[in-house]
Amino acid sequence: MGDDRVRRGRGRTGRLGAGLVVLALALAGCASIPDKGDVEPVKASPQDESQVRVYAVPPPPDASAGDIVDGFLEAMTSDDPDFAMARKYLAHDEARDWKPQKITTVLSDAPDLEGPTKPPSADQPGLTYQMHGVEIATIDAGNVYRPLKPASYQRALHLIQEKVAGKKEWRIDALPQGLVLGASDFQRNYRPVDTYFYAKSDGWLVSDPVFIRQRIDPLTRMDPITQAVNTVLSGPTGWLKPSVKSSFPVGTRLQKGTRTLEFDDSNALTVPLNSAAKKATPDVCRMMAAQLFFTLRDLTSTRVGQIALRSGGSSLCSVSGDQAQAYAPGSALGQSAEDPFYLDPDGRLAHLRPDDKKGGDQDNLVPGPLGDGTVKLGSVAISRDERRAAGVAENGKSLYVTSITNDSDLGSPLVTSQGAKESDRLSAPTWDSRGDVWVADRDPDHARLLQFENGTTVSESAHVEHLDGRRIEAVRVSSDGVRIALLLTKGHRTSLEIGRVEQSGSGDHKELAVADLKSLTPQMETVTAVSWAGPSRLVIVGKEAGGVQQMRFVQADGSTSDASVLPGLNQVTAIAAGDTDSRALVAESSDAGVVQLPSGGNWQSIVEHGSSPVYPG
Amino acid sequence: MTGGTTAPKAGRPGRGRRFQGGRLLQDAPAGGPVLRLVIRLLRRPLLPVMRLWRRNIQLRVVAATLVMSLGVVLLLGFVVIGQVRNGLVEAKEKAAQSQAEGGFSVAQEKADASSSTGGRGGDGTDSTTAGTNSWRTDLVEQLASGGPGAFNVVALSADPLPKRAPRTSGGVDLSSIPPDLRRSVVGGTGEFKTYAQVKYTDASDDRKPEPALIIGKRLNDVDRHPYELYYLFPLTQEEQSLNLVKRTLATAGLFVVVLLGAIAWLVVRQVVTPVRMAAGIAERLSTGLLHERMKVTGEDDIARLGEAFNKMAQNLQLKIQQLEELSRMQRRFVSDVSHELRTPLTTVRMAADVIHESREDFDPATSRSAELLVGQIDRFESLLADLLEISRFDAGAAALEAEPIDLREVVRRVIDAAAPLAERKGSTVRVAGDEQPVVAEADARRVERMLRNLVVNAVEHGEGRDVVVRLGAAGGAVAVAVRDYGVGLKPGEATRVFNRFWRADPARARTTGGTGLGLSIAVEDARLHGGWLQAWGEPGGGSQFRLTLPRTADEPLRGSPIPLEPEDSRGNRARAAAAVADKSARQVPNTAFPVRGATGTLPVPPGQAPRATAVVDPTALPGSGSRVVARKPDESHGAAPAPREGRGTGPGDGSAAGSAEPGGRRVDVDGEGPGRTSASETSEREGSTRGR
Repeated sequence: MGDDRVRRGRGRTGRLGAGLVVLALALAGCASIPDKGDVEPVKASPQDESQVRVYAVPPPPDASAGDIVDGFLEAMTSDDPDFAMARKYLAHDEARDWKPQKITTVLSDAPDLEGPTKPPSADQPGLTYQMHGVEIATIDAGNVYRPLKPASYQRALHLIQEKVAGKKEWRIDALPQGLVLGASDFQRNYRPVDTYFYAKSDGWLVSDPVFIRQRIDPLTRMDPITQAVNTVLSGPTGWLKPSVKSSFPVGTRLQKGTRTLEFDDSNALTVPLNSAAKKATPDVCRMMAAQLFFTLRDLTSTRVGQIALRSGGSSLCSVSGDQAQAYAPGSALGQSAEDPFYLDPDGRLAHLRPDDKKGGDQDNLVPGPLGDGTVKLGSVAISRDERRAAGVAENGKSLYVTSITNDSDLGSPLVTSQGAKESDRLSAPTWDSRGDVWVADRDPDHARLLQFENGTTVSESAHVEHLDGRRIEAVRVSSDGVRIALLLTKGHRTSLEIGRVEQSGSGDHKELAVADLKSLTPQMETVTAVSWAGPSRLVIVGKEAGGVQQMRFVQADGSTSDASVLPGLNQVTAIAAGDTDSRALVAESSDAGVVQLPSGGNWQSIVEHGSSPVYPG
Repeated sequence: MTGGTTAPKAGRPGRGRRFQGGRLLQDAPAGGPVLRLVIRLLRRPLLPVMRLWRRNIQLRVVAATLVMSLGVVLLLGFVVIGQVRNGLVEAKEKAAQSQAEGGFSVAQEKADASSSTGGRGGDGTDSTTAGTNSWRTDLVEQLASGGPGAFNVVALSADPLPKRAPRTSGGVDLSSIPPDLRRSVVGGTGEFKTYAQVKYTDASDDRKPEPALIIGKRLNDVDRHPYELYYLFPLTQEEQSLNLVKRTLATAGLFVVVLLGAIAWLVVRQVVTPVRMAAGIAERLSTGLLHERMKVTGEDDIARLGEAFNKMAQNLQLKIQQLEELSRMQRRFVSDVSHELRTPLTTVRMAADVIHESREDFDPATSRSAELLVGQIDRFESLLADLLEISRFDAGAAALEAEPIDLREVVRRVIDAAAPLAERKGSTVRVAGDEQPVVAEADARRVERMLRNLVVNAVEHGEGRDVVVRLGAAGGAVAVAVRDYGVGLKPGEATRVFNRFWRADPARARTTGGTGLGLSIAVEDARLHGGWLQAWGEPGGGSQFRLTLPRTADEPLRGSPIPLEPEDSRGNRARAAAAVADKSARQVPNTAFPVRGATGTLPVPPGQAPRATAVVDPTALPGSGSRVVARKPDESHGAAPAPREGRGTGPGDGSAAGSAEPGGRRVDVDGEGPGRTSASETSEREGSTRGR
């Protein structure tokens, strides 16, 4: 009995000891840095804004004329509410009449001043300063960026002496309307935003890039998100207006007095609208919310979770990120995650895969006549559903469209060019998201832009307005099918212009036109190759006057940023980009074959002997 | 004698308060009544806490541990936090300074390079031709891009009236740059730094101001215009680190303090529990349960204490048993001896009576011897009777046969009986306060014996002067005081008069043949009634013996209707005189004060609260040898009267020292006031005293 008790006691002690050890281990686990754990998404922290702000100061008393002019130029670069400080530098009448919102002129550098020059005669008092610079772009009152061919800019600032608080002070009494900013100040104060509207014919979203103020708008006192929402409510820009429509009922505006909109903790945004929005049906309301969703998607550093619309006191509808994807821009036929395609040295269409160094690997060739060498292709385009391909063969003479998923007949060419030289025959084809194939016939005698409806022989010649005798070298249709990028040549100069596709009528009476061409890269002397890189962005290969070949991204409105220049590559003849940033850029270089640019890296050669790398589209 | 004392226990709050209903005991005011009420209200909830604090050593030790460990933790925390803070700030300062220096040199180089290569303002018309605003903006942008989030850059014009707009990066508010730093930077050439709060002006996100290190320097821009360039390094990281340390220390400190408190509680409990047990056992031992022993386990110090305690208890028990045995034997012996002596004494008595009757037949010498013989046998008999009586008390065999009696009759009988003696002594015995019946439940025989003893004593020691017997009744108590104006008592004698066989003057011959046991028996009688018998006296001023009895048996006494120290004592007279002088000096109106009749007693002077009389509680004292401690009434009673004159300090201080009556209250009954009831008298005076 005694023994038994002792044993039992020992057992209890052992259990107690084991418990203590377990407890100690658990505590030790708590006290050490974790080296394993569940995978969790990282919540984006609000990025630190290191942007510089300029605080305008009023003109000091007894300031010289030069100080007044300097101070005024400086005050224009600030976020001062209603430019009140800038107006203090102006003479009384001019302060009232000056409209900073009318136009913003962007110079390559901050304006240089020259002067002062004395008035020609004594009875004309005052001094005149000249603002010098190179203008590169303007922003109009509708916030549309318009790139300009770099040209000399010179405007006069006239100063007079005016009585201010009982003392004679220099003030500006004649000046150009709008703001004059250097490029760095412009980038500091403005930011691009893609607003989205629905394509009239198809109903998917089309981007419409505009510029809004980086911070609080000095004139409307709205923060960037509110500015963007307001821009969407105001409707599409003039250039895009004929092809798109806004789902917002006419007269829909933000609720009066709305100046700030903020995402809440769950990344949801509630937009208060005026009573005009109540007319919208729930379906239309969701479309409205989707417009705002995609507009704000790129504006915030955090992921947009939900957009809710409210009118008066009642909630209209709300759209979450998943629901909005149904309206995603140009995503009627979304690109799959397939590799890009290219042409091997024998003119066969193949998948571009990294392991195929030499090119022409049998496994990579596509099935069908385009992959088996029936015809030697010179350029190719893959439909957005990746079932068919359009190839230009026989030195640019003929265009074939056939399946690349099964072995089918090549068929007869859709069109044959009569050009004398290869460079005078068919351009590379392109598919729009409706399944139509576009190609330009470069025959000097018979230049035309052709669209083959659904890849069939039914063709339509598109009328290109204001071509002015320039020849279409290349054609690229945007994923939304509303915009078309054209490379136009006249003499030695090749420019990139973007036009709007306008279709009217149907069947035999169908009329096709490319309207309102506008130059995207006026600063470029020559643009060699172009490709859409997303719904509102292009990647171009070109050369500025007196410069070397460069590759860069250009927004669909022609604006660029410093971050859009790509690493250099020699002798690029073709370039292709996917619809999202996750797809690597591929290019054809005369000395390195087909190369690709992995994100964050440098160009890598993939296939030494190959040509015409393309993504679907 | 030792057990079952009927003496009032001093210092029991609340006991006397009930007496207020009888309007007998006076409650002297202390401060305003409102203030007193407030103090009492405040004290009431605190009293149990205070009592617990006084009585609970465990609580005190735990509290002390908590307080001390809290102090240590706080001190340690401050030291550690200070060290960490200094370290953090120092490291940040070094890094910031090198960063700012680099930035300043970059800015200077840029300015120098641009102005030397650009050749701006070469035409001499105006030196501010170039877009300096762009240059400064670009500079700030470039510098700020070096560490977004790590620091911000601010460029200000150094002109007194700024011609150039200030530039900030990161949404820093311009007012963040302290003016004194600006003054130093504008005035000096080197770099200056300071710590300040950085405010932000971002409207979108309301960033709170942050503490920051600001380093500034004056530089020249591309147009050779001076400007101030500031680097602002937010110290949020450091603040967070410091907060982490603070939180950690606070948590750890809290845990340490709480744990130390708990540990102290446990440890002290280990010691205190046996001590408490010992205290409980000791208490039970002291109440007579001599068989109680501590439980002893182990062999540590506590166990040793227990063993020693048990050994002590055992020895005590043994000794007490022995002593009890001895005492019993002695009492038995005395009783037996008394009984045994009676039989021969009866015979002797009869023989002596025979001899005495026939003494005339003897010669004068023999006749005188026969008279002496009879006298001594009388004394012997009474001594024997007293011894028997006292031994009956000692054996606890005395029984009380209480019935309502009027003390006046008893007094009258006693005085009648003592009349011959008084006559012989030449003194008269007067009675005061016998206008109304003084009825109490008492044993008439014993009361008569007590009073006879007192009156006879008074007459005997009265030296021919008058003896006054005063009766009083109030508030559940009756009292009889016997006042004489004889030799009185010396200091200290008041406690000893009740001792057995005590004599004021051992050399003095007894003329009345007192046995020396009379007062002892009287005390025992009083105690049997639940009453008090107390003595007061002053040398040459006579003495007063006061018998206080409860009106009904078994009712505890709370006070006596008659003061122990008579009002015509020397001390009282001196005080009264002083008070009268004082009163006339201060001209205090005393209309509320009743004027006494000319009975020889003096009124209590106005402005003087009833004094705590020096009294003796003989029932607790005789034979006990314990020291008498005079307690101030304030000690035992919260709302005690204001300070009084020190008792016993009057002129001719011969009053016997004694213990205060319970609650420091005193009942004054003036039995001599003609036609005035003692109760109304008292209440009137009480009212006047309170009204003051």
